[in-house]
Amino acid sequence: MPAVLSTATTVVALLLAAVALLAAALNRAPDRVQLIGTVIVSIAAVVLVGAAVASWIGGHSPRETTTFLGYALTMLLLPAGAWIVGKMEPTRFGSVIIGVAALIVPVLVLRIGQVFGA
Amino acid sequence: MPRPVNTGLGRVLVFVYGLFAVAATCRAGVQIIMKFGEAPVSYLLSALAAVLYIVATVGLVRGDAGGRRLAQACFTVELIGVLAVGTLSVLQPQDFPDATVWSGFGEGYGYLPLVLPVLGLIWLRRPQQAATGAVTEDSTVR
Repeated sequence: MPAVLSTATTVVALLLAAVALLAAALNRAPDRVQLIGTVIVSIAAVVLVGAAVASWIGGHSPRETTTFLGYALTMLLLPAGAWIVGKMEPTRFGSVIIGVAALIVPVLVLRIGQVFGA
Repeated sequence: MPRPVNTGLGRVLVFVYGLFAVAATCRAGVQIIMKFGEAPVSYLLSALAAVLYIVATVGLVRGDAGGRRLAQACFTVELIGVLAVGTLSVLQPQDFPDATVWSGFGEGYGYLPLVLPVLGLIWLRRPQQAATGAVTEDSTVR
């Protein structure tokens, strides 16, 4: 699992968190910028998990299979799930939801790295 | 009409509690199935935390008087649990060979297990009635 993918995912997730939490501070509901950010983070998550699975097929298996699958699934679903729930709340708190979820993504990246023993 | 507890900040709580419910259930499930013998007390506590997160999420989503009571009970037990287990895990770490969600006051989860129940209790303690007389209306509905 290339380190550049982990770094890229972490950076775009933190950027989305910053944008969303700033929007929340300015009393703004989730907007197009947050949607684009969510899509970018989702793509990064898919690429990261895809690379991990590819290296698994290539013979480098994760130390804890179940845990890895749990984290991978969570990371794939989290940004989109946060966007859906965030849109249900058309106030500043919708932006809080998207911001909080975006903050969790770097933690998942870190844990996936640990479980995979990169 | 009582002010809804499942919108605004309440929706953020529902989302985070829902996430914790999934995470804690999976973690406890994996630990109990794969290596229960290593640290049964820790894993049972993780399972208890998972159940509390699930019930609290359901209570918040329902948002009626019963749901609020349910959520309030969960937050209270959770706060006591995280304080008790947090203190014990610092004083007697040998009793907890493997970490629980509540070890070190939830340090493995960014101290959210400590912050969330406090936030939840404050949220539920917010004045519920927009007008006087709503209390009677509320109790007759239940």
